[in-house]
Amino acid sequence: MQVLGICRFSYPAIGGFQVEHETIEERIAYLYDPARLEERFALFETVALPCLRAQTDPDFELIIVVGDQLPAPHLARLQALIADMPQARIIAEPPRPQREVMKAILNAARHDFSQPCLQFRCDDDDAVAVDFIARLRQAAADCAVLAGQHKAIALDWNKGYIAEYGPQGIAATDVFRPFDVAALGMLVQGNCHLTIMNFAHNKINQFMPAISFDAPRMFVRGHNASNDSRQKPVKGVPVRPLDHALAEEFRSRFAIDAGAVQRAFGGA
Amino acid sequence: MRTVGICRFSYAGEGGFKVGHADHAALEAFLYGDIRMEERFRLFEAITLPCVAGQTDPNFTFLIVTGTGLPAHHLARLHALTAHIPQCQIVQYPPRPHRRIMKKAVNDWRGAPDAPCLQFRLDDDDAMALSFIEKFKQAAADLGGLTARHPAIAIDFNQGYVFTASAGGVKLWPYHYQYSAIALGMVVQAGSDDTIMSHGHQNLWKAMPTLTLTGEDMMMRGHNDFNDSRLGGKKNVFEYKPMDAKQAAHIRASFGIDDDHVRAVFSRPL
Repeated sequence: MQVLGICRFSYPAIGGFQVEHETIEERIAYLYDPARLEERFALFETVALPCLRAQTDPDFELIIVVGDQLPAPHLARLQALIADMPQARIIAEPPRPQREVMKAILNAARHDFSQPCLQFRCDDDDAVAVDFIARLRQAAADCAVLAGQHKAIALDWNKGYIAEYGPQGIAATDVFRPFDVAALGMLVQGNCHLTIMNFAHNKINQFMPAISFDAPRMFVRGHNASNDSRQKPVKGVPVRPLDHALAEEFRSRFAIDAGAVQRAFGGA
Repeated sequence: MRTVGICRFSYAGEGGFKVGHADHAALEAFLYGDIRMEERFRLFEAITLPCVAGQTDPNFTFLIVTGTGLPAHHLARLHALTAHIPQCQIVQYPPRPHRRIMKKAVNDWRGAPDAPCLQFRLDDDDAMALSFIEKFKQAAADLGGLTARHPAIAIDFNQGYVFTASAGGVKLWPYHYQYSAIALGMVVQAGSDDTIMSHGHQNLWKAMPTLTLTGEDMMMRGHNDFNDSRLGGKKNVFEYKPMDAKQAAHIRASFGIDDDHVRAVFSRPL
């Protein structure tokens, strides 16, 4: 079964960000600010990509959506980051309403529209466990009879971690967070145009059957300065520096190397 | 697959109620007071029992768990109300920690855990859709690949209504809520003695894989004067609306709740 992931990388959508700007020019200036992009690249390189590169089931595709005005040096850097990842490709789009463009990209990427397809989203600072694709595919197979009765079903892993990244390394805490973006997949039937971008992730279980797995911990959600959903004042989640056991879990389960994170953020 | 539902009917245990009492006598005095019991019986008769009696798949047991201290006249009324519903089994337990007794009630019914079984819960002022047992069994069968991997999984239906019932009939507020204690079941494998009462319903999805199904009205959640979870001071306020004829027909067809019957039951003199 085709497994299709989609990731926005500082794509200047019209709408779709939680930080609002008066004009699309303002939004582009905000998104492509060199200091902000430097942090997004550091997170993408050390948090989001390693776990995808390390998937035990490598049979998936990752579409990275960028704006067609992303300055050439940044685009070249992004291309270099994924050069060793046959699963990944970049699609550049002009500013458009984000759900519309993401839906069109997902549907255009389906190899055989008459066949079912697994879809997932990932944010550029989120990590999933290295067996996410394998477990997603297994869950889809285990639930095939149910899935066959519905246009789409959601497959979710509801426990993971929240992490902050910086020059000191990683601080994190475990969370129960059902139907978050990370570690949420959707199985859509053949000949159905629904995509995972048709639904607000946290309300997806009001629109389709939804299976939520309690184990294993399947995601690390980034909480960093330039994370869009963290710009508004939100209730802080207390985190603590990784101890040895958690650092090993981050390495073995999420392919996140605390030392690499620290270096990417200019730490010792 | 053998299927059991568990319903607490004013069981006077230790814990399990959100309203605290000074001692056991005070709890029994509260629970078995005539005015409170009258409301519980009216709801049980007009709301809960019709949906048990009218299931499209009648092959299940409905365990009604009450305390050994339930006064004889209330026990007699409970027997009379359920006499015509073959699925109902009234069981009495002494005052013990609430959750332990509920687990025991399920496993006493089950016997040796040599075969898988289906368990569900329903509180004594709530209703499940008449198709619940049928759909629960079907979903369990459809998830065979998943159930084989886990000692237990939960199956939930998340759409329905909050309601009030009175002499003025049923008033509704539509809502979605996952893993409430209504239209919620568990598939327990052979060899596991886990039960649906071993977990707080809201915590089930932290403890096992769960499925929630949506798109159909499957639960009616009672919100009444003596509803225990409403006495804690943090009241949810819903804008209940009286039913029009079309809604009343839908509620009757879906849940077996007849608005005329509700009005009649709640209009009886106290």
